[in-house]
Amino acid sequence: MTDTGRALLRVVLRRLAGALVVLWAAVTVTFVGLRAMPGSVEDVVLGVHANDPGLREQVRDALGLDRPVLVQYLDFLAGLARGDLGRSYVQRTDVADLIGSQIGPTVQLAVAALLIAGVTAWLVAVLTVDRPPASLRLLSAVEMLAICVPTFWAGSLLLLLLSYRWGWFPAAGAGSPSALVLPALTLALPIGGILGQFLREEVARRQHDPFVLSARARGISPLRLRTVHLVPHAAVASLTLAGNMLGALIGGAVVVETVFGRPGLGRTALTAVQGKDMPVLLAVVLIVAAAYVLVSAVVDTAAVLIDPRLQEVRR
Amino acid sequence: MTTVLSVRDLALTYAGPTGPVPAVRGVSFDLEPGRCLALVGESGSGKSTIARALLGLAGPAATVTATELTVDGEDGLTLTEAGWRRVRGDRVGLVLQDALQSLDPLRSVSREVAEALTAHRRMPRPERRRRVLELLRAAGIPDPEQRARQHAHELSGGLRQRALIATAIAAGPRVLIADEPTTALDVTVQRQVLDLLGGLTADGMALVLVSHDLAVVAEIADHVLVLRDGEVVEEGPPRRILHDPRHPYTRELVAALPVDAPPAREAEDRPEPPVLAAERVSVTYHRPGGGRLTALDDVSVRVERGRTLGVVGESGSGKSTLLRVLLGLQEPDGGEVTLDGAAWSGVPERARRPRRPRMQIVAQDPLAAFDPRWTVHRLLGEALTGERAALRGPARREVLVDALTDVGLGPDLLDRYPIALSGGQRQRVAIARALVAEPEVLVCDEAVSALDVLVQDQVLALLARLQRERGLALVFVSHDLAVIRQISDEVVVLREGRVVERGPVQTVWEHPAHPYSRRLLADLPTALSGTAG
Amino acid sequence: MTSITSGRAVDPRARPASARGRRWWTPGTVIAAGVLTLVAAAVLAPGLLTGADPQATDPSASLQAPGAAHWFGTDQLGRDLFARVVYGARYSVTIAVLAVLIAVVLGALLGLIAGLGRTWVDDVVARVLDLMSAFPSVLLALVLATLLGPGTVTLAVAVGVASAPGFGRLVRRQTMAVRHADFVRAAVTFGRSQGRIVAEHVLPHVLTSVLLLAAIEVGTALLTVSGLSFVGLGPERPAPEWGALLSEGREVLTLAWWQTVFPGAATVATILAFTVLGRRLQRVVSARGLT
Repeated sequence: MTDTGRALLRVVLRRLAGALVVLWAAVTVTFVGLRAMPGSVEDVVLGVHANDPGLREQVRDALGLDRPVLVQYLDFLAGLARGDLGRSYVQRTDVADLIGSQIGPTVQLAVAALLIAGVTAWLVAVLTVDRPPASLRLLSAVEMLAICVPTFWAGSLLLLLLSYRWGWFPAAGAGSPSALVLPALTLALPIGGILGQFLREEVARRQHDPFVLSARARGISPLRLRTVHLVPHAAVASLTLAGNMLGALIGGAVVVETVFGRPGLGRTALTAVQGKDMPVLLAVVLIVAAAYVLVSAVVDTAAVLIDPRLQEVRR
Repeated sequence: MTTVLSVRDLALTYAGPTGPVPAVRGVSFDLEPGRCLALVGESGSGKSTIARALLGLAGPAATVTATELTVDGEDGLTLTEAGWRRVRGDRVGLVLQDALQSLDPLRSVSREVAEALTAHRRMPRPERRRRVLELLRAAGIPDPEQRARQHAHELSGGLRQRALIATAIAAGPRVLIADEPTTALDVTVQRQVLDLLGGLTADGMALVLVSHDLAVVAEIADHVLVLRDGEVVEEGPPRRILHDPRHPYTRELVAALPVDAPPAREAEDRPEPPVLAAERVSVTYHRPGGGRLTALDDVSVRVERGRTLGVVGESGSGKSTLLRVLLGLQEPDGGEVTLDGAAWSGVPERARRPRRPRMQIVAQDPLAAFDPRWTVHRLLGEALTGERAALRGPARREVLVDALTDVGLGPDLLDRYPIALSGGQRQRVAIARALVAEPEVLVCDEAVSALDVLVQDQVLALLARLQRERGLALVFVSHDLAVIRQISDEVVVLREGRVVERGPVQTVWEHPAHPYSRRLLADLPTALSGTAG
Repeated sequence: MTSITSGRAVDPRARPASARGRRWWTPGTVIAAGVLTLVAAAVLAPGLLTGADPQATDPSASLQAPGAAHWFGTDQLGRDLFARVVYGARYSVTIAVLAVLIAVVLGALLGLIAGLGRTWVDDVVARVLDLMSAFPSVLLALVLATLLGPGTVTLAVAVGVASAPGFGRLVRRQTMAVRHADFVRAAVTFGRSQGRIVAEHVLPHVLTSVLLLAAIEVGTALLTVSGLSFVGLGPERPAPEWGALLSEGREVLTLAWWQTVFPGAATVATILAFTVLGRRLQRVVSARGLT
């Protein structure tokens, strides 16, 4: 195996071990927190029938609530290992099925938004390297605006104009591809702003590095300079934003799904909070933590692949 | 002979915030194939600016004017940016300082060289690969197949500078511009790179060498331009410039060269007890992946009152570790350090703290050694000890003004921030601060390495005077042999954590015993080594 | 390796840029300061800006468009929207500032412990920060809302805890950098004690960068707070928190555009003002070489 391969394997293995610990800790913290919740599970499950002692007994039996908390916790972990996320208190279905049916639209939304934001930010960064300062200031004002405008407001304004006034796009639902356009645009706005600003600053800063001068002294074209020398550097640097991006995507998804009345994980989570539907909430926490861990592992691996210097820096 | 580079009345101004700022004025020269022209000057003299203008890379904020600017037959005054791109690399190559920064750190050596090859003409893959290896070999890189796959950070300083040169000559330019090509390198490597550049001119390359170091330039240049504030103050062949400088500024520059004169002070033998002594000190680091690294192995050094110990070593020789141990910032794994005859290593920090002011350090980068939020007044005041620390108001100010006066600075500096000082002023303030603590030992860690030649000379003179007046013991660490020669009484040469040579500076210079020190001295530019006339 | 100043190329373009970077008052910062003054007035003394009662309903004036009587129009219950926006500042801005305070205290504490402690302490804290980052603020707010029920405190704690890792990492990085800086080594050689070095060198350094980040983070926190409040995790209605106002506006979007446009504009203006001022402050401070 080559040195790079071995270093890569080491990074991946270490990340994997770290990932499992973070996942376990995330789930445990949430489990403990939610068990400490005031009010009882029976009240949540039974709703208006909460005062029927017979029913309460049935529920306690069915959910195993009489067992010690530690046993319940271990049972929960064992279930997770089997891929069993438990049953929803409120919707009376398997949580795994519920999540499975909701995850698709959210992933669609997130990927579409990320693509729009990423491609735009890249193009802007690469194309505006040599623009005069005045137009760059305008651009950074636009980026700032994109970052500072709340997604729910941007979404509402887009709806107001493009759906209600001009009727170009449907106002709600997730049935057709055109229903994805507005939500994805809305979600892409802050992400594109953050990414665009970062990339532009990074490319501008790199422009004065000695290796860029060396490359220019070889007589290469400006396009090659940007794509071969500047962009990979900005790419490595932008990987550090991945965590923020993911947070923005998830937070954004909750809001955007509400504004546009789209089904999805965000809405599911909100409903679960309102109904104190703990198993569903736990599942969402687990998925988000897993996504975070997965993304940072991929990002770290990618960084090592692009920038071989990182192999040596890591302890 | 035909010239490949003709420059007449070159002038260059930058658009500044308050109007145009002139950077270069009235510079003219011609260069023929196989010859080397040197541009010498301190920072801000405009030498690098001229070098960049020769490639059309002076930047969009710069306005270049000249009556003639001909680069290998192309009229540089009428070239468009696209025209310049045809010239760059193909007709003129550029080598910068420090290949670690100047080669794209994300790309392998072979890709960087290949880029230079294919920027101007298409080349099938097998031929490209063959040419890359040929070029690396021509640049004196052993085992090019393996090196080509590596990145700049995986190569030694010398190898990566060679690789950088390979990229610059890849497309076969007739002119090579080298901007401080040896500046960040250790002496031995510096010598090799100079030899490589000299070899290129022997093969017919026209070389423009830009350097702050007159001694380096004298090695290979045929003609030298001395620049100051963007103007040529003197020009001529290097021997003439070195031995018969005519312009006052050049005379200063030459005088500042630490040429081999016999040491100013007599090497008397006083059996005085040392102020600071390290006896058989060793330090071992544990490598992260297991294994050990011996940073110091059985090292003993001592320095007496009023004497200077020079510590010579290249990077990785254990210099920094030795310094940390001497300063009591790190405990040695074996051996002991004594200060004034009392134990300095192996004692609790609480016991060491009150004695710390007795030993002070002046570091390479004074800016990093100052808290950037503090004024000079507060910076100096921090070093006050004993009852003087309790001084307030005018009395405190007076003490600090005295300290500044002592290093040749005025009281007006007291209320400035370090960033508002010049490099020389900063280093003087750093020395003043160290002296405020009233030390017996002053440790200088590459203390003049970042300074321009003239300032370097002044600071060395200052240190010598202070040493005389106060009987300071100096430990002077440097990679610069010329400086060590000038200031030390005794020298130790460190290599891979061991002392390979020690003795009075004169003896070591004249009769180096260890092969390593012999090589170090042989690699010095000849203007300095004493064998040159 | 030695770096030699004379060999470095100084980019002349950097000069005018840094001259501009030092300037404190630009058109942007003047406007931002004006906006923040208005916001501060709305938080401290809303009565100065409007005589109307934000909770007074008037069925006869339901959903009126903006005009002389009601600058921002009225909502379904006939409440004056301008008054509601003005009084809403108190909720939104207070929660955001509270959240940043929580983040600063928690983050600085963790960062200092990691930066000053031994290697294993640092490792543990680094893991804790990682774990905290795995919970985006929205998710944290969801969990906390389930635990504590939605409301002001929930929101501030959730956003605060979620922003704490950012501060924690900054403080840790800065502490370590300062701890190994040459000027701290110099202070050691003057015989300064560890505690005094932390107090004189480390803390002031860290404090500067923390305050700079905090200024910007208020804007970000406001963004998150109003978003969470929009999806129903904020103070109970009829509190006129801006996100809640926008949520009401979303219900009548087809009927009353003003109920979406004005509260949103107020939110955006405030967020922008904090961000613009915070960034300018950061740039001025770093251009003057104080960090």
